[in-house]
Amino acid sequence: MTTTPRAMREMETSRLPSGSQTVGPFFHYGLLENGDVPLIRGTDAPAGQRIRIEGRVFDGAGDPVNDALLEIWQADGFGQFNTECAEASFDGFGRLHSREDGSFVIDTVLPGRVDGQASHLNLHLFSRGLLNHLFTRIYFEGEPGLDSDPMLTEVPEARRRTLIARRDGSSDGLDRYRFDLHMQGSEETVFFAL
Amino acid sequence: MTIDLGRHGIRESDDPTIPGDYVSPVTGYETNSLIENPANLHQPPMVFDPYQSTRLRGPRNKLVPVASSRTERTAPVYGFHNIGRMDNDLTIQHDGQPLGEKIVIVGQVRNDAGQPLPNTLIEIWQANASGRYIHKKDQHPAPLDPNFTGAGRTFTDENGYYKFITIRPGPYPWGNHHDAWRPAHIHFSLLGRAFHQRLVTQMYFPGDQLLEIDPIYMANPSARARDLLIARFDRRFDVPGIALGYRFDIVIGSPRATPFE
Ligand SMILES: [Fe+2]
Repeated sequence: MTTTPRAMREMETSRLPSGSQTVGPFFHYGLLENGDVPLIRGTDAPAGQRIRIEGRVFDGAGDPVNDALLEIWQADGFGQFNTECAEASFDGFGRLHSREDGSFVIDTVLPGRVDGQASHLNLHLFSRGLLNHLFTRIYFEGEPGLDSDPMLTEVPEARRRTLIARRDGSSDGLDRYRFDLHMQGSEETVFFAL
Repeated sequence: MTIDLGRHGIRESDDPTIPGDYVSPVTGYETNSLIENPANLHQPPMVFDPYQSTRLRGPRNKLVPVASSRTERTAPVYGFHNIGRMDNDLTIQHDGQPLGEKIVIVGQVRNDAGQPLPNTLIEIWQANASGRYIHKKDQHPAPLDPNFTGAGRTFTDENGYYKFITIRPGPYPWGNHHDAWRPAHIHFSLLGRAFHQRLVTQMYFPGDQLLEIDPIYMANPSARARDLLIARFDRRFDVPGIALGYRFDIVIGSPRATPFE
């Protein structure tokens, strides 16, 4: 099959956003060459309140999703992004894969508030069966600004709780939270379109 | 690093009056079972019945449209050392040469205003020449290649160009339906320069008979968008006598809503 000038021109000048395709089940060795990319590495101790978010990913049948990829992007404890303020010990970026029981653990610091928004993590969810990756946020129970957060208040009130991690105690200076992701079903997590 | 575009360089777009006989190689796969993606008719729906895994995994509620904040307009610029090594030649990662047809893939990453995206991370992964992934969960009984892992990583240069050297992956069977086969493809992941620019897609090969019966490829209802997922055979990028060239450009969309501060 020879490429015609028109086909080549279409490729080289197109402004149509490329179509999304699923990450598939075999992304681990491509995207996690060194294993999960933790937000806090080794003995790093970035400023801010240390938190641990534990959760699971479920499909529409309530079964655990054991081949999901989660990407986190967040501000540091002062509400600054790595892009703007390179604190060597905190990138604000993490990549985690779900385990056989669908579980994941996010160890990080509570992000500072950004431009008056409530404290939040941005999350991208990828998996086999997702032709488009999904964008959602994790907010934190009891933190200020939840009632006025510009993104959270776009969500119908009855579904907002799907975005709020539940406090689950503290130990050793670590605040613990629970946050499950439901790709479908009566508890379906809210996903956003930008 | 700047991508060497070869002695012919990248030509400016051709005179639009040049007649072309190019016809998209795909025809309609029935897309009546889909739930529309409200964000973009050139993107696949969340649930596409022929691709069975979408049935329990694609959200059934409409996505909530929101304006972007600073969190969506930023992205990591440091810390890539955590992710893995930068390596755009997948054919020299082992002692010997991998089996299969060696290829060069060159492309430009642009935004939807036509501006190049420099310095953005691209990661690829793929099956070997016999259609087998090195992944431990791949059950396909085709042989592994001790000289091929199938993962690479690079950045776009200052003009948005990237280059990979690899082998053409084989098609492989999968469990979606009786005797289902994926067309040959390479998985592409782009981190983007902002959270909202994240893209994961797959690159396909021209002339592949499996494309029009592949529910993942065909899930995109736009024939034009599907066609642009097929690399162009482009001999400007050949390494003569060694590898055949392909061109695969990637366009990153923009958020639709006006941002809030
Ligand atoms: Fe694949």
